[in-house]
Amino acid sequence: MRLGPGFSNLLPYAIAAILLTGAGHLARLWLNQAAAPPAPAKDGLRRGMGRAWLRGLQAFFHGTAACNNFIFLSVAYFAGIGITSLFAGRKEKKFPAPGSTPPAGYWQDLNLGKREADAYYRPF
Amino acid sequence: MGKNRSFAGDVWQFLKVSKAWWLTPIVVILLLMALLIIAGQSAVIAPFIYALF
Amino acid sequence: MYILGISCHYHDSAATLLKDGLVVAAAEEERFSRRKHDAGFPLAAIRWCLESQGIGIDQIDHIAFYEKPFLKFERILRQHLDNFPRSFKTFHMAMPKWLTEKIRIRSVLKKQLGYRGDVLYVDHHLSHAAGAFLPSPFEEAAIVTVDGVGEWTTTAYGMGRGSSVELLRDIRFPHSLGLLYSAITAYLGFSVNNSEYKVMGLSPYGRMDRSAGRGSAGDKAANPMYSKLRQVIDIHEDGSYRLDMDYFLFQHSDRMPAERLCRLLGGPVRRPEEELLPRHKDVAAAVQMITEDVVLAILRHAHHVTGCPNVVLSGGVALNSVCNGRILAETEFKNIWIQPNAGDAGNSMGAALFAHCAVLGRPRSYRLDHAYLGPEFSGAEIGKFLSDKGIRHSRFASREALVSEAARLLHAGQVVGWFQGRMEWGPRALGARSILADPGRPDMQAILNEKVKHREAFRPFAPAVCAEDADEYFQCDSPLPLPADFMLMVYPIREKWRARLPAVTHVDGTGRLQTVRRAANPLYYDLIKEFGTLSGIPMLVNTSFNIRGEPIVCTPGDAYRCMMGTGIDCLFIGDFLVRREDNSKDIWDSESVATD
Repeated sequence: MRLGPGFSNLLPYAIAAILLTGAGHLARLWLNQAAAPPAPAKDGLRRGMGRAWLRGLQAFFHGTAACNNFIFLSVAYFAGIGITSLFAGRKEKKFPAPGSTPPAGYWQDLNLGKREADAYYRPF
Repeated sequence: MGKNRSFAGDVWQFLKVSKAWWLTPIVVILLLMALLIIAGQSAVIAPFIYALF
Repeated sequence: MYILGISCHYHDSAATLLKDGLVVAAAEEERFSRRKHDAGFPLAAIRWCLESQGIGIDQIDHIAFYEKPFLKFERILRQHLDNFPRSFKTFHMAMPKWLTEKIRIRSVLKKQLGYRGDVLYVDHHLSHAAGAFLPSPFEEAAIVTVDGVGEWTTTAYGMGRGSSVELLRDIRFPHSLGLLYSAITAYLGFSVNNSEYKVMGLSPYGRMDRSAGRGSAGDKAANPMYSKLRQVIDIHEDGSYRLDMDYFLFQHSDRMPAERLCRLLGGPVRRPEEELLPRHKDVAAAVQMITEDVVLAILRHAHHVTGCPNVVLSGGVALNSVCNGRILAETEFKNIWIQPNAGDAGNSMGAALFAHCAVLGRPRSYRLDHAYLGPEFSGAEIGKFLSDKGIRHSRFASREALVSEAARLLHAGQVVGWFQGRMEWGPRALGARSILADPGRPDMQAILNEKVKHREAFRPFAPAVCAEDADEYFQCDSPLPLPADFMLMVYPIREKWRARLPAVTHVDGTGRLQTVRRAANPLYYDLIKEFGTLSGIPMLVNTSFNIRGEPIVCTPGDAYRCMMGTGIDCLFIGDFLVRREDNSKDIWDSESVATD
């Protein structure tokens, strides 16, 4: 079977796949999203191997997806949130010093409920 | 029927109506990333996305 | 015309179906998925709603969603901006779900349900307000909503008139009474968005005196945690408040209390298995007292602004039944109503009713006077289940025979599973999916705790009593407020009865009663009365029918499994009686799967 020029040596791909799976698993652990290891099933050798193969494949897919998410979201976080936070300015609201409660209280005007019907057709 | 806008239309209207232009860069980047993440969610494509880097 | 209301993606997903403005079906997703507080898309609940009316999704005219997702997303982005780069981890935790599902409600509805019609988005607190006012018995009422957080609003008040609902003023994130309560819940080692009621149950064990206690005569009674905790919240006399965010991490972390809060309260976050010290009890008492201070002040202010004698409450904080029990006595309001599902799940009903009345301009015609809005199973279905599974059972020839046998077994000290009619709407079991027992037995609390519920010994059980008997046993408001039907009011048990009702009397002499009206649930009512003729006290212990850590049972299968996994002695399911001893082959130990 010919797999094209790059596939003549499968070792680098296997190493990349193992690294991706591992890194993804670490990312999922960090985000408390890693699934608990499944209880050992009492299968025969062939079914057991089949099951293990499927689990490995699943771990590879999940791990890769987690790696992808981690990279994309980090880009979004630093490029999107980070840069905007530089010029958006922070809304720091200091807690009032004891005894300095403003006389008007903390209520803000809301006036919700008296809008035209169209306002409810939009998600904002 | 049909009073809802498309998702893109909603996003545009939201930025316009709420004058939240400061959100634009985040929204644009997030939308781009969302496309990739959604592609990455479908497990079959996920392993091939790393080829993008 | 059908309107489907949906709440999901935060906690407690649920669906409500309206037919021509009347609620015909409402249920939480957790009852079907069997995952407590399930936050996922409520597909099973929606399917059941549709099936119960024999309709398909194409017959739904509108779907009402309980939030404005873009506004909530904006708030979350703003939080990340304000907390860059500390929010790196929470950004990674939250964003995938936001980008793939939460922000794209219409495409989720299309994908999951094949729905192509219009979606109406009702603001979170407006859904709360509508869910509190529109099904209430009042033509006019002040509305107060207090919960964790919606889009931006955490607390609001307004006014309902006829079919219009308006919220006038609010307090915004991060200042949130609900999140303060949740942060303390986390500090005390309980799970957030789940075990807040345990903090409420723990609070009477702490000291309930607000004075600082330094040098005064009442030093021993004073709760030092109260004055400490008052440092984190500034409360204005109009009930509005502000939190000192230096004490909290919930803006950018997956933990709630900050190191500074731990220092203030004199110790680290309690681990779940750790012993509850007097200090923890004082903290629970302090947060409960502060909650009551704030809620009562808001209500007084809302009364001052609206001048209306009626009030409706909503939001998770409205499930604080200890606080609710004080409202009519300590504010100028004369009447109160709270919907049985006052938390976020109830917003599916609020959004649907708001869409019907306020958006589509149709008349307000629904009144919620009982909570039995969930699935029910016919005698034939239950009979088929029992025979298919080979479960040994007997069948009653008449209703009277069932009631009298159930009363007899209860009087004999048995723990009875009670599965009758439509499932309850809301977090409390109200006599449709309940475990019942005799409240007069000194050992009943221990028996229930050990054999069935395996829960913390500090939590008492709830008493169920017929509405007209409530005043005999409880110092309740008069006339009896309707929310007592939904187990939402705690009142003191009259002194002379306390010793005779040990299983339901809390350490401070109160009880979280459920009042039962015959019109709402005749079978349950008759059972309580019949039990009264045998025991002399027409009252039952009513606790939810579930295994610890699981949602309340929904189907006959759930009920049977729960009975056989716990120490419940017998199960009255429809016309059938199933005894544990007759089916010993199916006995198992539910503690092996119990979580929280």
